[in-house]
Amino acid sequence: MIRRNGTKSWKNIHATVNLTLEDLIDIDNSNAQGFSQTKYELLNQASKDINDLIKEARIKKKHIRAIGSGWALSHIQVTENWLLNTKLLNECFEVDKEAFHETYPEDKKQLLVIVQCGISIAELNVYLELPKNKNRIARSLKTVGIGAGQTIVGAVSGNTHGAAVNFGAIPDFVVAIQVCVGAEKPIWIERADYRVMNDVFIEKVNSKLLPDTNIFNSALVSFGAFGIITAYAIETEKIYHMKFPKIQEINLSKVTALFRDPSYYANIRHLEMVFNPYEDDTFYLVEGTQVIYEQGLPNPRPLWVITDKLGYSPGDLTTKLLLNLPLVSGKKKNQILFKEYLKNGLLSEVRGTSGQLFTATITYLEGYNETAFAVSINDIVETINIAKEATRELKLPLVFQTRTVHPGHAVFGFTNHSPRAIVFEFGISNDAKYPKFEELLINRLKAQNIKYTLHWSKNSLVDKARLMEMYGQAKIDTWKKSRATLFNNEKELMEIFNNPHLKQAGLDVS
Amino acid sequence: MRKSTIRKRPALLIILLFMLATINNGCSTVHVYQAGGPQGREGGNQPGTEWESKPTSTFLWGAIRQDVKIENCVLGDGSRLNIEEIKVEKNFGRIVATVLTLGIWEPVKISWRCAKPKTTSHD
Ligand SMILES: Cc1cc2nc3c(=O)[nH]c(=O)nc-3n(C[C@H](O)[C@H](O)[C@H](O)COP(=O)(O)OP(=O)(O)OC[C@H]3O[C@@H](n4cnc5c(N)ncnc54)[C@H](O)[C@@H]3O)c2cc1C
Repeated sequence: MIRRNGTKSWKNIHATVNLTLEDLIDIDNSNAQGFSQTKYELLNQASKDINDLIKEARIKKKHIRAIGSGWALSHIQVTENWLLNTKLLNECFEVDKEAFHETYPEDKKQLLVIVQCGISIAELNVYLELPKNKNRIARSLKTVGIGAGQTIVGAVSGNTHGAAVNFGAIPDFVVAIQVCVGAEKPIWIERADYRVMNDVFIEKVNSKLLPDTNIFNSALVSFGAFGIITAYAIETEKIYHMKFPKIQEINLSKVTALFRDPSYYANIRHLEMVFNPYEDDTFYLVEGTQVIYEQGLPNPRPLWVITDKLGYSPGDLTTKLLLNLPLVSGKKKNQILFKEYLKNGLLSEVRGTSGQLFTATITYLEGYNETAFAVSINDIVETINIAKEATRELKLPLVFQTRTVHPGHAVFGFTNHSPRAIVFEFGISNDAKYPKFEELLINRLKAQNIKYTLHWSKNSLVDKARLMEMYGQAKIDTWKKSRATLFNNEKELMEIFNNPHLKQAGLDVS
Repeated sequence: MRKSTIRKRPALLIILLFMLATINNGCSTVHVYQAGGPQGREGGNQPGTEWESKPTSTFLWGAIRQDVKIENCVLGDGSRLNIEEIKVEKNFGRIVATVLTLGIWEPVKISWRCAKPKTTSHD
């Protein structure tokens, strides 16, 4: 059901976006009669409620945007009219054997689930890894980010990634999308060459089938521009453990030798590296290998918990304050920051499932920005040097972390560099220094002809020219054409989902 | 930071205090939230709604209180949700008001987010 909260002021989790909304709308799975419903009834109620809302927005000429957990730091969830909170749509559904398409591989059937848009990664981990039904096998997500508080659709739409060196990013395990665009029925999108559900199922979820690979790959990373996504079909895998040895300290020549050697990746599943840009030749390697799942092992200590046993932790704005402390050099602040990072932010000598290892959700770091860009692994050395020089030039206190990701299929996948992407991430105080530093980094990358892409949900600097540099005309055309086809070329409908972020990137027009 | 550094540089201490008051907006915030999860795994923060808040006050050192009634932690059909987290905030103005009135008037802002309904298995 729909519940309208009226005019509200709203900010995202890191308070980098502040909005005054005309209406904050909640949607949930309850029904006026109080009946318990079948899975099809639940899915159909949610899509009907959302489709009706879009139709109303069209008549009233309102912009509408769905949000998940509001974790995106860029302005991709911005709207001035109606913001739809989807977090209460958090159910998960198993698929009946007879609902699969005839070409869908038999061995994958028990690994596929249908998830509602608002289920969080943490809820999904519990659902998959600790099955309530004894006939179900335990399963795990193929990859996750550091945190587990994002909703599944929010995470996919903003291109959340982990460090899956042989798989890809979160969008890469989605195999079907149900989206509402204000048409007569919701649309069920699959790749034309990888069909998953059959016509009987699609009929039961009251949807119209759209088997189109370009539209599917465009809709994955579409940050709310392709309508409101109500559900995905996702592929998981049998539960596994990841084992992390003690963090290794290595130098740049070892980094180069390892990262550029294709055979290095054969035995690892997860690869991170951190460095303090003020240290000359020290890098810290975090390597996770896949091992067999063993029941009964203790839960690893959760990372990123900054509260001590008595409940003490830095205040909401203290990080910003400390990073801006005058008379203390960036280098000095970094020494402290880096030590804390090594202690609280990295997986070392632990073993667990991805649901046990990647759990960070409680973060109250207002005024602090996390941002990221990706380059090809071939450009790792040059990019490390650029990152170090730029940090030292602006005397900033910041730690760089890299995560290596296999390229995937999303048209606007920012982690799609070949042969693998290396994502450079850093936290920075959210003030005038942030865009200045990023401009400096981007200009240096361009000066050295290094192809880069910016993280959609962490970086606000994507404009028309930059979009072209990052993805090229062919991909931009594919994405725009897919969007127009999905909306049946109805400009009025597309306008409902336009927002300042799309306008800035030149993606609001077909 | 080591004490000696602050002693050597009194200017640093003054600037630090000034920044605490301005950057921090003179604002003190305490978070109250749930932790833990099934089989001991940390579920972290799992809100189902966005922040809602109300200003409230106590008068005469608690002789009169103003309660906060939470009415938005419900689903569309009216059934109640739990509360996932609460935030108690005092900004500079509220702190000054409490000090100047010697605690006769103690204003605070209370914010909360509701919990999610439980994910159930639909075979
Ligand atoms: C503590 C923390 C840790 C993080 N860790 C990582 C990490 O390890 N790796 C990484 O890559 N990123 C990470 N991020 C970034 C985060 O994963 C992304 O910002 C993600 O997109 C947030 O998901 P969300 O559910 O909060 O979505 P929101 O921020 O609410 O929304 C993101 C986008 O999705 C759209 N959207 C949401 N729901 C729907 C829907 N139902 N239909 C259509 N569009 C929808 C929104 O309109 C918006 O454009 C982290 C962020 C934080 C705060």
